[in-house]
Amino acid sequence: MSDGYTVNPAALEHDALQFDDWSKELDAVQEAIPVTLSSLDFSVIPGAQDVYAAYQRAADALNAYVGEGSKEFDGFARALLKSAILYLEAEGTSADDVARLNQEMDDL
Amino acid sequence: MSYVDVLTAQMQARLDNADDALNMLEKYGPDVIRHLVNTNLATIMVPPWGKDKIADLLISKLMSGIKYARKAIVFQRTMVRAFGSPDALRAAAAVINSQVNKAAGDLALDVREENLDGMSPSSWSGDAQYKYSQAFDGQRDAVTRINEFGSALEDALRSMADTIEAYYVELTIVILGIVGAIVGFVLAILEAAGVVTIPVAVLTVIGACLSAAAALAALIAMIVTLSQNNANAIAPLEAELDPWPATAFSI
Repeated sequence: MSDGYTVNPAALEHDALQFDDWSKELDAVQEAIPVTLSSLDFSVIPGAQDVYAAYQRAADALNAYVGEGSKEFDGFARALLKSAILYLEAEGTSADDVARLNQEMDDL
Repeated sequence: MSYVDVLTAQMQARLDNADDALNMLEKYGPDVIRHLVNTNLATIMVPPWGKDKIADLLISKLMSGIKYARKAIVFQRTMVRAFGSPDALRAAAAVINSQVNKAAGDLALDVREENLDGMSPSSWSGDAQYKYSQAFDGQRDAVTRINEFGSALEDALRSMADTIEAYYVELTIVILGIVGAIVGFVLAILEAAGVVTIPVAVLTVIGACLSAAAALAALIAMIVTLSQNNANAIAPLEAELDPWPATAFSI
């Protein structure tokens, strides 16, 4: 507890790891999006190549979108860990605890 | 397995056989030619260098023929592939269903304040916590959007797979109709030539015209249905996907 606010660095660390997990889950989702289907799989029947082109654009857009989400969650994780470290340092917590969080930051 | 893929696989297997045959021909053909030249020209006064020249010429022609045949096989492979692959499309749709849509749906259930200790005022309060809470707003909806958009991708692939299969069934019916009409006209000509009476020939012509009209109508109906199916598949894919809500969250 500090002036005007409450903070539990362990809660921030917990949330940082949570966001890191979610970021990794989004990475897996992104990798699973089939963006390399062959145009021939769609056949050459009338209009099929239009569907292929639309699919490709949509798959690329979803791929980029999920990538943005992963980065966003990674940003949350980093910001929360950084805050936890700052709070711990401000409270004069042991160097080992700070080092541990710094290591977690490196592992993100 | 889709019958289109079965058909494609059968054709590719035949092309594989053709490739194997060409490989055999390339390997043993020159020796066979030399043997044949030597055997058949044995009784004629042709010097050995003459036989070699004839054999070389024939071997060169054989190799050119093999090269041409290989190109033809490559072209035919592309043509066969162009039938499309409902199986490949459905397999991709299944991946999207389980590894994209379902995974994103499960993640959306997890991405909520209850799973974040820092959202509790007893763990964290003040301006920084407020910023955190504000930044988190909308993240869950952003995850849900993956599921929604992914469903459009999945549906488009499944719809395309169904359309390909339906197309070849319809095409077969149309071709049979056209063939029937052609046969009808041929019969009518034979009948008009005196095999049977003129009135019967006229009736056969009318029948053939009706068959041709039916085949044409089926062809038009098929193209209209196809265009509609494709348009239905494309529309959801063109839905706007706004960027992920960027918070640039920092404390």
